[in-house]
Amino acid sequence: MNSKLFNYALNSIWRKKTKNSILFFGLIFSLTLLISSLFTAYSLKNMLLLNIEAMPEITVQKTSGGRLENIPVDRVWDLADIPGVQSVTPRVWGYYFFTHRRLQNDGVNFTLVGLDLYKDEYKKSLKELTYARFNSLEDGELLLGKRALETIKRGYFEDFFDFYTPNKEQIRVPIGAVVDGLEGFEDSGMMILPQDIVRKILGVDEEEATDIVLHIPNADEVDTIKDKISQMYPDSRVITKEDLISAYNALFDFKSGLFLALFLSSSFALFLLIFEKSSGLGAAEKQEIGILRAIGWKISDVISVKFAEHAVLVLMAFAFSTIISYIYLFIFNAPILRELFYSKNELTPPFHIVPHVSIALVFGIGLLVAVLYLALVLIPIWRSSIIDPSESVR
Amino acid sequence: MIKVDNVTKTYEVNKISFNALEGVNLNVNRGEALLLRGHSGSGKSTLLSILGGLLKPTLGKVEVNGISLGKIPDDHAALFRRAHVGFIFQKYNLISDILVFDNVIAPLLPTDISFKECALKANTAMKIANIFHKKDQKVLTLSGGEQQRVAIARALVHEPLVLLADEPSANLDPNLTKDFLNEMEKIKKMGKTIVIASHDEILFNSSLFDRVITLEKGKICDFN
Repeated sequence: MNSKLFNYALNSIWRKKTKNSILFFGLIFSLTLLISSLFTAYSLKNMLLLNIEAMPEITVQKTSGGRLENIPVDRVWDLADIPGVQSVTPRVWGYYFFTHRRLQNDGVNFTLVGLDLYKDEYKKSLKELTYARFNSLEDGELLLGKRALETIKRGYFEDFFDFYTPNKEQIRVPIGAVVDGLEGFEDSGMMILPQDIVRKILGVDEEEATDIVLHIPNADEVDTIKDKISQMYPDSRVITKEDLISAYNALFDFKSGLFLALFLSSSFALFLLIFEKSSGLGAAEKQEIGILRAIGWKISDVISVKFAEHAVLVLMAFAFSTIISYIYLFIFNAPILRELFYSKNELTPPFHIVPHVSIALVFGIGLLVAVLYLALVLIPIWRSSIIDPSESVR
Repeated sequence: MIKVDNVTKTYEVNKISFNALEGVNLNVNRGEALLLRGHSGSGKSTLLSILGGLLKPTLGKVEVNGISLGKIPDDHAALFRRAHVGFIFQKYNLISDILVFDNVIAPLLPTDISFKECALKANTAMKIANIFHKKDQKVLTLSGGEQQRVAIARALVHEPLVLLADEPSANLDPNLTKDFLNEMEKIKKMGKTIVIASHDEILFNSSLFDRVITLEKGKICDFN
């Protein structure tokens, strides 16, 4: 297409500015919904995958009558003797409900993680900086993320936090550090403390742990080791990383149902726009095509001008929608959609989505939308172009 | 310049066929001005559309400027219109929401001619048609007579040898019709072949035409 025809296409967009503005903003609305949903879903999925990546290959818990109980720490020796197991770590952690009337839902659940200083049992699952920061604290201090700090500040805690043991004993723990890294949906409510303090708060004896985690370098051996542990301790519940992935996926898939509803509705809106556009041309547009054909334009000239006209519109709408979605996710942290996809924050401090945008995803959506739109739009234009020009200009 | 040999054009409406033209034979020489007369439905516009490559005859041969139009493919017909004929339509068929200049230059846009040269040609055509002073106005702001001059300029912009006009005075008052005929005199002097279809008596009495042909029910019934 020569530059004169391209200029004609640009003029044509401007000329039909009312109609094209409606189409343009309609496209932006539908595309922004679609792209924001995909960006948010993609970022959340990516955060889940990162969490799963840091998880141990096997987690062993103890059950009694179907209920979870603390597990005896001395089981670590038998577990460490199983061939293929690289390391065995008893963990002390649990939920602590902080209730205060100034909080949403009157309270939040914090996850207390007890670390033994100088032991690198959590080195793999905690972010490296967080782990290093904790190890630099004075003994008896608390480390938490910004979101958790904001939450306890509502209860007027600034420099320390008061915990209560099951025996109603108050334990005051000074806040040693606030870190940036703890903002994801899994760790925004995390508080890291020395293990002996967590034991007191949660009522876990010295001889017990919440669970025991095993690191197994060879993924092929995980199932065999799981069977061995089940035989060794019939009262144990053995969870593999694969089981956790399935559980996460089930949770995410449930949220994906909502996503699907949103995706379908935005796609439907987009479809309606395209359908409206493809269902026929206005009389003026048909006449213009007829005139252009009558004065010597070939069918390909007409189609290339109309193609350029709509390609400019749809690509600009797509670019704007991508930018708006990007700002929505990166700057505003995806309000509404975040809760829609992952509503766990009702009982935990608000989390921050770590935006993750795939170029392939962006180009994929762009290509799909542009091809679909242009194909549907060009059909009626082609139909009008092949009509005998004498009919249009009579 | 124009050879029409035994041309028939059949239309089918509601499964009923009728001949808009039947066995028409006609020759028009280079530089000649011809008036096609006839009542509504006599076939004048159909014949003009065939000569302009807008319609194909059902039977017979048509040749304009050495190009056979009988079975010409659509895209070749478009190229023929772009190169050889200028058409002034009864309702002008201008794109009303763009400028006069943009309407006039439109036939040249798909060509390889540079924009600068296209603009020169458009300016020249507008000067011939006496509409240059309105070049930056939108067509919808013009009067009927001015719109016709835009249509004339657009028909001349690609310097065709043949100019066709369908009922050019249908929307004009007698004074404007005379202006139109004066424009046509100028164009005839440029050596163009002119074929005009009209049933207007003012045109019939004009000295512009070398010949007048009367069509009735799709057949030529009178040579003058």
